[in-house]
Amino acid sequence: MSEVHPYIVVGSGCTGAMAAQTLVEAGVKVLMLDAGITDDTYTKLIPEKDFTAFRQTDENQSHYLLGKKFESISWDKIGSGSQLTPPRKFMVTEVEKFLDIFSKTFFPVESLAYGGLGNGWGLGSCVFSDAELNAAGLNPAKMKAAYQTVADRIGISGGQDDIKNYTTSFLTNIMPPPPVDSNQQSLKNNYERKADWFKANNFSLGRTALALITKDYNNRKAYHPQDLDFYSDKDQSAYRPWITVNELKKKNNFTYRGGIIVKQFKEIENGVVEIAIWNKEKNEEEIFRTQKLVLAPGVLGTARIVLRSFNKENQTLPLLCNPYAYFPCINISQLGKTFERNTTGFAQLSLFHDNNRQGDDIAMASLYSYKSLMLFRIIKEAPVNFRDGISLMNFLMPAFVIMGLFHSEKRGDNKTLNLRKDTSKITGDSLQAEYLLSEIEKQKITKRNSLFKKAMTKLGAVPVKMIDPGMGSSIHYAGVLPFEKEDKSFSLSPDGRLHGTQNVFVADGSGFRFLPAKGLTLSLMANAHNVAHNALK
Amino acid sequence: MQPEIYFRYLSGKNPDAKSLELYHAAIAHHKIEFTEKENRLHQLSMRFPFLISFIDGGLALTQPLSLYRKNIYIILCILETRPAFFPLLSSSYHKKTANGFFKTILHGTRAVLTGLFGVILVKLA
Ligand SMILES: Cc1cc2nc3c(=O)[nH]c(=O)nc-3n(C[C@H](O)[C@H](O)[C@H](O)COP(=O)(O)OP(=O)(O)OC[C@H]3O[C@@H](n4cnc5c(N)ncnc54)[C@H](O)[C@@H]3O)c2cc1C
Repeated sequence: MSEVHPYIVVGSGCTGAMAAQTLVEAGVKVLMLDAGITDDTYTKLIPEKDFTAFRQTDENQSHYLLGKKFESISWDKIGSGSQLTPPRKFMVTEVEKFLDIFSKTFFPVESLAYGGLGNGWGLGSCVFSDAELNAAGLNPAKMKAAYQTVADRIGISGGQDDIKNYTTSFLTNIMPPPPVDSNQQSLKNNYERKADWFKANNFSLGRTALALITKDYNNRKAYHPQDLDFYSDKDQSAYRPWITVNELKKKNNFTYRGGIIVKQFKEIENGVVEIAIWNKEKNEEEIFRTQKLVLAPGVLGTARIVLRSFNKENQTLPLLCNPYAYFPCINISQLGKTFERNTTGFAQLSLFHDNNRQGDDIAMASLYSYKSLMLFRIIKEAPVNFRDGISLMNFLMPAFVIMGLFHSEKRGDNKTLNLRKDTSKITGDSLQAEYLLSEIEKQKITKRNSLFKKAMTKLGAVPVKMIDPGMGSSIHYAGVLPFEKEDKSFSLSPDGRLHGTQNVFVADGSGFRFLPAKGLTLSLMANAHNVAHNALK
Repeated sequence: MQPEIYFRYLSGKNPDAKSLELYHAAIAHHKIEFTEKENRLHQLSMRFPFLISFIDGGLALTQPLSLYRKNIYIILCILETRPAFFPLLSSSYHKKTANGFFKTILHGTRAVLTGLFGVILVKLA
């Protein structure tokens, strides 16, 4: 029998990285199995200059701005993952081949990259309230301690303002936020001027909390805005999970194996877990054995692996995904203004609507200025000829505020997944998804959207359009194996163990029973830390 | 496809060799096969380049994802990544003058009018 590894972690995304770090710091031996696709073709080409500087000089910029195969020129409607630029697109390489999904109503973004979706995440970081944690099936006391551990590992910046309660709340060591540009400063000024209206309507505005360091921290450099956020990870000031995995690789008790697609597992004698994988380089199957398996391949990846492992073809699993839409808005006071030289592509402000000020019915919008994603992406949305569109959009662009609005999400009958056999696929199967909101949910969202549009107008930015990229576009997924206290199949025990197994743990968001509107990734990482801690017992 | 005409439509200038090279490379990846109607509109544009803004504007209102527009869009994407065209396509980076402000209003009005006239032209073509 081949070597039995003490711990195997599957996946190097935000959750895999956090789980592995907890295990490695506890001194146990960890093997990470990961698809682990990397590609620095484009990042290598980006000159050591700020965005405005290289736009004026670099003759080869089309390579990394449009892609060598011109993959950034999209003539489709805006859909899930439209914001991925060529240097980030490797995140979704080979996904169609190995992570097949069929759906007419759900369009997720998945990743087989080294560092997973965390290569392109927007860094928005929020702790969940006690009410939200309870609804998600997470233990508030344990999560609070874990949030702090994760925040100390990754570094978070944020404001000491009206939204602190929703974002960093009780967390300590929070760094100051990066500078705000004049476009969003004017919204902030209007918010302060009209404070009574916002308070009466249960809205709060403040600086977005980001996993972005604004002071040098753990060999990473403080952030200096250069408009490169969609293209490169200069100075590693933005937290990306590969930063953690690169550090772990320096430890003796950690081994990394990339180029691997985990297919399924089974528990054999003495609780040993046998894992069947596909070795992409050798094009052959291999078996690994472990005493404890920690799955973190992302929620949809976990669903595939677990359904295959139990060979339940017609088993339906629940699914959660935050409803999401963009609203381009025009900040009237900025019309015709000039771009500031160095701004940020990350969200600068967040607007929270706390329906009854109880923390259990919150919607959240992130507010972005629009610059480094360039004219061509936005001009396509304007109903005018391209030639006049150029001058109109140049006039409007410095005044654009893009509101990305997230709604919380509960489980429902028509939000499901199952795995069908499909011999035409390399994995022999295909995930089938259905995601339909009920009429009541749709009405609630429409009402909330109107409230946010009104709030934006009060801030001085008039919404001009709503772009609904469809379910899946929030890239926030959870809930396929919901936490259950009782031993129920296709669920997780509160400590993250897969019911029906002794030694299989799930560290990604599969257990969350509810998805708050706030970005979930900080909570995913805190939960992953807790699950890894439980796996140590 | 005679892209030079569309380059001139967008920028008022002839494309440089590198821009043309990029265009042909882009077209190799984004195959554009016009429908009969799009082909008629294209032929019309070749003969009467001043009609391009009307056709483009009319399609923007009636058929925004038409391949006729995609062809122009590809050229726009390429122009935006050419340093030589940076001043032309990036006026939002430069200080605005009163002249620039009036030009924008003029272009806004022109955009609406060409769009409306274009809808009729596209229908008739
Ligand atoms: C553009 C964008 C912006 C975002 N912005 C935010 C934000 O601001 N705030 C926020 O909270 N969230 C945001 N998110 C969501 C966030 O990125 C995800 O919630 C988070 O990265 C999920 O991490 P994960 O570890 O669960 O999964 P993933 O990131 O999907 O990682 C999965 C890992 O497992 C590996 N893997 C998968 N399947 C297999 C297999 N079968 N075998 C072997 N390896 C496998 C992959 O290679 C990868 O390493 C954003 C996402 C995107 C794409």
